[in-house]
Amino acid sequence: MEDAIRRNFADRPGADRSGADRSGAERPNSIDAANLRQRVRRVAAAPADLQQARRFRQASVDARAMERQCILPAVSDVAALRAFKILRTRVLRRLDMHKWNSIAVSGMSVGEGKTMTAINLALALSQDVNTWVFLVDLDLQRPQIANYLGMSFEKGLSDYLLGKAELDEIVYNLQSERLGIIPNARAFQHSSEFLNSPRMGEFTAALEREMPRRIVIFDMPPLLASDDVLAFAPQFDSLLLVVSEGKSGRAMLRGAKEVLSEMNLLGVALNRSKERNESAYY
Amino acid sequence: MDSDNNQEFSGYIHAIARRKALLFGIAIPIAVLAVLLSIALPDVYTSSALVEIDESSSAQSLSQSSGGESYADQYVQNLKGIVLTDSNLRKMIKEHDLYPDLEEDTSAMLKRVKRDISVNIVTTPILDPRTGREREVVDAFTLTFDHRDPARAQLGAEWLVTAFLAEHRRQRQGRASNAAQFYSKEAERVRTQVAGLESKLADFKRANAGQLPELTEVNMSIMDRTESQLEQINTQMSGLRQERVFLAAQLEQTRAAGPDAGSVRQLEDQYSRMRSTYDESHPDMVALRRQIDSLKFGTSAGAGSSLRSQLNAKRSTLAEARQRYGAEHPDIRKLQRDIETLETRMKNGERGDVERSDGSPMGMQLRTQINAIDSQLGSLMVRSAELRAKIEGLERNVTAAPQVEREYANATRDLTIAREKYEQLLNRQMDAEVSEAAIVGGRADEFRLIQAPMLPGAPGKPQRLAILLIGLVAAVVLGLTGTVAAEALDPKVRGARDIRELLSVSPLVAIPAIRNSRSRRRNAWRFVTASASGVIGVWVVFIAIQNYL
Repeated sequence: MEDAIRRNFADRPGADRSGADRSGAERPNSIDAANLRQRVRRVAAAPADLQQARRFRQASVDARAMERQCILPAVSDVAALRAFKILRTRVLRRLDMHKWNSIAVSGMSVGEGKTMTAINLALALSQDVNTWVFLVDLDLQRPQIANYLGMSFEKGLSDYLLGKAELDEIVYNLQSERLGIIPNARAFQHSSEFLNSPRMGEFTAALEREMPRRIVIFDMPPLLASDDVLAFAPQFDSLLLVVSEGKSGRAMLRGAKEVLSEMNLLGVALNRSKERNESAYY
Repeated sequence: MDSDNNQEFSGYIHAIARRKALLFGIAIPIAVLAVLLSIALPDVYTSSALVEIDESSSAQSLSQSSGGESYADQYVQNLKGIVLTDSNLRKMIKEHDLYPDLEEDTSAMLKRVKRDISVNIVTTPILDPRTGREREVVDAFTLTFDHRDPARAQLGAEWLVTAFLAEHRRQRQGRASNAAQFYSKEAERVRTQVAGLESKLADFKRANAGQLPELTEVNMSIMDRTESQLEQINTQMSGLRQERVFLAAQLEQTRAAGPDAGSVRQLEDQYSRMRSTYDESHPDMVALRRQIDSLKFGTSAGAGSSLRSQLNAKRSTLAEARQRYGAEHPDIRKLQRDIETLETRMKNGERGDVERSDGSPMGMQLRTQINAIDSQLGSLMVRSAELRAKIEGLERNVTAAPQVEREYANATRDLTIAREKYEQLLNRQMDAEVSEAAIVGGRADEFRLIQAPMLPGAPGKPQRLAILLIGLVAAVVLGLTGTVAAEALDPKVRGARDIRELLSVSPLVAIPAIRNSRSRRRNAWRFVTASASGVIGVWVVFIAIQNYL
């Protein structure tokens, strides 16, 4: 039992799976109460894997843009920092528990803080020395990650999807080598078709093949605004739903419940919460 | 259960915490306004007078037309409307120089003086003897005047008292005078009506003279008396008729012993013989015939004989003559003319039934007695006819009396009613005139000044503590109400509780609204804008209230 729990990311069976055979039936659909009670201990990546780690080009970012968009390195709000740390830890625990590797971050509508949450979650995860992360801008209709970071780059996801670039050309390291960002510059009209294209399948497979094994965070468009999330659902393990207090409508949330039942819900992040955290002391 | 309650309570606390901006945005301006008002509002002095409404007289005059219920309050309100006209109020303001600060703005002055004046009804609960229930009775009213200057407050209140009492007296006098005039006019109208009805009744009486119901008994007694008179006359007539029959019998006897029948027969034989020789018109024949007639009737021929017998004689002569002569013969024509003449005379009522001459003195006497009796009978018959006619007339009157009685009763009743009405109107007119005289003389005042306006020693308004407390309570209540309403009407997701309710999962984390330089600027700008709006709003409301008061 102890061995089963102390599992390296590299040994995860999901690492060898192709995108096509990923179905909800093979993965636990809901949080197993029995597993929650088990101890889950994270371990460092094997030294062999670490040696295979590729170094990508360093992203050039704009600190002012990040400050404006509340991206973690530029955030001084202690409560916000603490919140993202809590989110990181809880996400890691759930991923480990369910042996999930990829997360789609989506919300109900535009402006709820999906991209900000995705970037900050990626940054927070990458601060953990045992966690390697890819952050992919999959909001093909309105790519925003680069804008949020004030990032200038040559090639992005669109170039890869159109066959104009390879993976190592479109990945940029931010802050550390553990965080690889795949930005996008060009908007696609028919985004869901691109998301289901073979090239996208190759892309996700390439990400999964990367060593050491990385958690892949997809920044997705709103759940109900298009069919992108549904179309891309077979390609990710779990969904992190971002709900913005005072912005997301109750009716929309009620309407999204049925769609959510078709995916693995990693959890809900309540953004712009006005409920003060009780551990304000820290 | 406790945990549910705690959760609910904490939900409220979170809701309030979420919307503290709204809560404070409502509560703080109201509280500040209350504090400002309680501190800064100027002192206002109140001077008031109490005027009692005299129940005994008001019950008569104030509610004369309303079935006994007092409408004194309504009357006072009407009086207020009359007294507090713009022109009167202008006079009041000018007289006492009430608002020197508003000298230029007349409409503002009027608005303010109307606000400063208050007329309140004072009621007392009484047990109504008719219904047995307790009810409110208006027995007084207060006249109050507010002013920032105590002396002016008193002057204003005094002006009000004087104006109300004077107007009330004028009203009453005018009403009494109107009533007197009205009753006078009505009395005149009804008097004309009475005169018309009297004239109509007199005409009726004239038209139905003798048939009036009041004469029925008299008519009956007259009828009885007349019938007995008729009876007597009938008796007299019966006696006279018997006597006449007796006398007539005696006369016949006397006649039978009268002229010689043999000589008559002889002359008639001679006449028959001569007729074969002479014409009837022959002088001898005529003379002979006259002789026979005179013997037969004791008079000259033809004279005194009955017209019928003469006619018969003429007709027989004509019959004989026609056997001998033609129709155109002069004798025939003469006889025809004679017959026509006789017939005409008979038709004209000429009797010619002249009693035959009784040649003897006895006969003459008897004839005279019979004639006297006939004369008496004639007059009695005439009298009898008169009495019968009279009785018939009386019977007609008595029979017609019930019909006449109905119309007579109608006419009499109308007249009686009209007369009563006339008397009542005269009485009322007199009452109204007396009342008017009493009002003019000041001996019938319904309003009595119980408490004259005093010079106020301490300000009556504003109630600073009350304003402060009410304002603070209102601030809290309205703030919380606004918060709860905003929370209840908000369709957006609020808090982890909503997530739990809607998705049945707890959120992994609650990320606060991250403060960066932009959000800080935005928040600061919002705060400044809201504060400025609040300050301006409070200031505007404060100025408005201050101007109003």
